[in-house]
Amino acid sequence: MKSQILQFKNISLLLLIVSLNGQPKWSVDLGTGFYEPTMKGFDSNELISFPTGNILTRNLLINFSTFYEFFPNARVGYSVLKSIDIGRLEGLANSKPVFYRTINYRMIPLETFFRLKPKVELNFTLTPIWGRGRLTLETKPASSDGGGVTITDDWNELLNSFGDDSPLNQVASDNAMVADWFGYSGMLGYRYYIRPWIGIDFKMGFLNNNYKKDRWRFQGRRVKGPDMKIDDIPIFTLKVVYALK
Amino acid sequence: MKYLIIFGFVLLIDLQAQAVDKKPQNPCSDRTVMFARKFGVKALPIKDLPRYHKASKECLEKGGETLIEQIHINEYNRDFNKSKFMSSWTSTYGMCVTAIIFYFFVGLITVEK
Repeated sequence: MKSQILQFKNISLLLLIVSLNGQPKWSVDLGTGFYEPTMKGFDSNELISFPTGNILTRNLLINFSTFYEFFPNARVGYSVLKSIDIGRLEGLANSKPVFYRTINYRMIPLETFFRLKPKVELNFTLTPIWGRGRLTLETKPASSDGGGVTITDDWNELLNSFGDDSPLNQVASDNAMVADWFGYSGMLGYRYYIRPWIGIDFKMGFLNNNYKKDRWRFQGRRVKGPDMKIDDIPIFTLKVVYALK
Repeated sequence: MKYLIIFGFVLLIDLQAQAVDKKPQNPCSDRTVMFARKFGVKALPIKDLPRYHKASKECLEKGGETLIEQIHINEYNRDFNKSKFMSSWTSTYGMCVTAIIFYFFVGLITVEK
């Protein structure tokens, strides 16, 4: 028992010294991601014609991350993959509100790596995901003049198209519906350093999100959101990494 | 007041002269380049990075390719050697990630079939 305590102490001391002496390295990454979700709630909606999906609004993600190298071959960081869609909803009765949709996959990745060659690195990432979807309608106040259509009607029409039954009586100024979910992701990466402080990083892996369409919130009320299949999907990212220090 | 303005003017010229004098004649011997040579570019404080990039560019223009190249090679080798430290521990994590991803893709292919 005594020797085990001594061993534990030695290992702890070694880890502490390594983390103190190791050159701390901060890095920031900027890049894109590519994945293929199925967004039935938007693309196959029978009541409202949402902006037509294309590769930019469906498959491409904007990626921003920052990492801290806490060990000579391990880093931890914060990463965001963001999908954006903007357009006008033509299907609504009288008004044509502007529609915004964002999906953020926020991650806290733990990454280990080793260098095959001085300029080439292989990295391995596992991360939990805190996802957030957000839908916003910007309805013109004038829409309430023509035919008595109000902002509440626009929202109810949108929610009806997702399978809800006119759940709103009145809409306050905050006009966004939000959903949160958890998930996880794993990725394998290849990084080539074109300078000691600049690298090109390519990763492939998967995203698994526990998204449920019944868990959207709108002004404190639980409402139904769009059908989206964002679990078990392969993902690829390509980014430029800049090591600051 | 007249003397005060003249004094201030002289002081400004003197300070400017000192500032110009601080800049080394040879950009390859700039303190940031010297520091990067010893400890690597990533060890430089963030506020010194623009100065280093400017100095290294000027150094390259004045024929200091070997010096700048050597700084880069040293840094690549330093990172390469450091990443081997305790790699047997972190490679276990790497193997776990690889196994999870392999399992995921195998599942994806077999389920679709």
